[in-house]
Amino acid sequence: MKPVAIAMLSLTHGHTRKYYQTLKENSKLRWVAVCAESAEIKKHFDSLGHGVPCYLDELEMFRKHPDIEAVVIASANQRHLAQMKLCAERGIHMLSMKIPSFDMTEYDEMIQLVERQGVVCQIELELHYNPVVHRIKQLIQKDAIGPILGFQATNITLSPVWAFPWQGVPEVSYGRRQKLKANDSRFRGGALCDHPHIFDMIRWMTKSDFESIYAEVGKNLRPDIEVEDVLMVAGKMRNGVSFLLDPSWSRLEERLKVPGPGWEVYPKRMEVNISVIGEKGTLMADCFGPNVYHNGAPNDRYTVQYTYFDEWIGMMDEFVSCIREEKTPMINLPWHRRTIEAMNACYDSIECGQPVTF
Amino acid sequence: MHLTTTPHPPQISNANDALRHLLEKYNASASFGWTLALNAHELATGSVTFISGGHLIQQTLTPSLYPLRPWREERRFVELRSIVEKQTVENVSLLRFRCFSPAQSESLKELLYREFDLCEWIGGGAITSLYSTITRDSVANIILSLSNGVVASIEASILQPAGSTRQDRHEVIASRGVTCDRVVDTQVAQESIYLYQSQNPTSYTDTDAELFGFPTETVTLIRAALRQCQSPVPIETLHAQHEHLTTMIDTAFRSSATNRRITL
Repeated sequence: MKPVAIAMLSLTHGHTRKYYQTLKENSKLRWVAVCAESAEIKKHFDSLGHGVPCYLDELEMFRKHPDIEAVVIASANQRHLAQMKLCAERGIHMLSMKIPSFDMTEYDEMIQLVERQGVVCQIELELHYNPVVHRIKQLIQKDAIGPILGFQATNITLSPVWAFPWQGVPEVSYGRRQKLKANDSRFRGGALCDHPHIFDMIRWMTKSDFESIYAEVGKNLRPDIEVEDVLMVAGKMRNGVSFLLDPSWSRLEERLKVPGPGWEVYPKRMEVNISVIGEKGTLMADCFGPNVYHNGAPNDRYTVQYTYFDEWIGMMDEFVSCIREEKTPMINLPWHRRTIEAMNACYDSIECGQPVTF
Repeated sequence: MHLTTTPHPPQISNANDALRHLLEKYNASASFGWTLALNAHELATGSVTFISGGHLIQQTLTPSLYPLRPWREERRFVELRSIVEKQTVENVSLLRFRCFSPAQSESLKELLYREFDLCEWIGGGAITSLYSTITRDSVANIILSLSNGVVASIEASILQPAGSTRQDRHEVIASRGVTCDRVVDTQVAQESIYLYQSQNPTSYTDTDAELFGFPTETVTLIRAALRQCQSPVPIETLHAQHEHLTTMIDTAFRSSATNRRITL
């Protein structure tokens, strides 16, 4: 199979650096170029020594590399539609970050664009390529716990806003400046926008759709940011499954400009735990464990050192396969639309103080 | 050199005898006859009965029934509350509570009775609003607010297999610090001792030397009754607390039935 010539755009998304290794090592890919959002980001990328040409103008990159077949749109949410247009019009396949857009009109425009141009657009929900998640799905499929009655999941992390400031800017993260609720100085666009995975995963695991959803925000752990950082979500699926989701930035961090060792204040920087309660049993899973631990450099703090992150390998394999074999990705724009709607429903619920029914 | 053996607590296997022993040891006594009831089937007539309030949810309260909250004697909860109260963690924002039990050990209502009380006791405020989804009286997911602005979640299930141990977690998240009764990066409760033999592995967690050998639920009930005898809380107050918690349970079921957040 001819390797897919691939590029990256913007390099401002928090997951950007996760791709570097995969793009270099996956023999089905040929990493030809990147385009940085700013001179500062270009300087940092060039300093990493990947030997991949870095541009500051997307049109220039496409002009100089007409062989580009696919891109990873590694940008802030607000940039996605314009970049999708740019790529789709050129017949370039796209790997979109986890939030294509919170504006449903804009979202539908993306769907139409992709269908019209006949390109692949895969959404980056890498958790599907996690081995623990694979095992959970398998156990559910084998009826290990019987019909599902309850589902709980966390997707809790530290806040990336100090390293990726756009995630704390409502217009860029959420798409517009909308107050969380009356008498609250905060805006939509924080922790919830960073954590779509569990809203997607419950749909796969329960094989059902949202019936109603309720969300409530807590007092911010970081009073100096203008978006929400902790919230809880509960509700019911159409098949009666009761659920509770925690998509908070409830793990405190050092305010580093570049993520790296010593980022954690709380020992564990990220957690995705899933519990599924069935008639015949209960399944409790930590999607990123067990791990190893240390209290060494740089802060001499007890720290959880993760032992694997290979989700991007499987995800990029699927992306290549969809391009070469003209298949539709598992997480495509139409499927993902409901997940985004559910997240918007959380904000609506926070605003009105009552559950939102679908 | 003269070696002495470690003092060993007296071997008392009956909870009533154990309470009597502690009352004598600490020169405390009740001015009335009493009985310790481990469940609603052991309610005595004609004397005061100390019992966990959760067992009285379906009962009509009488002046001789003392609904206690034994979990407030459990060391981990005492420490969690102390950490919040002494501001070891500051500016609490979230409580994340979970309890998965076998139905043989408690009903969903009993479970919620305890967890609601822990929310208020550890969180330091009264419940002011509540949203709940409950499936088949067995699984509940609840979000509630306290009067001090703290938001809490409770994940509850009574579908653990018969004979399995309760799996719970109580985590307090604040703008300065997190406190939890579970180890970071673990999912299940740790035990003090794990014994691996040729037979099935066994584990032990003993937390009270004076009441050595009793299960935790019995230890905490005895301690709660001892505290009631030493520092009596008026029966009217105990009954009012019980009514408050049963009202919260009714509210949770009403919220689920109507799919509404209910403000109290």
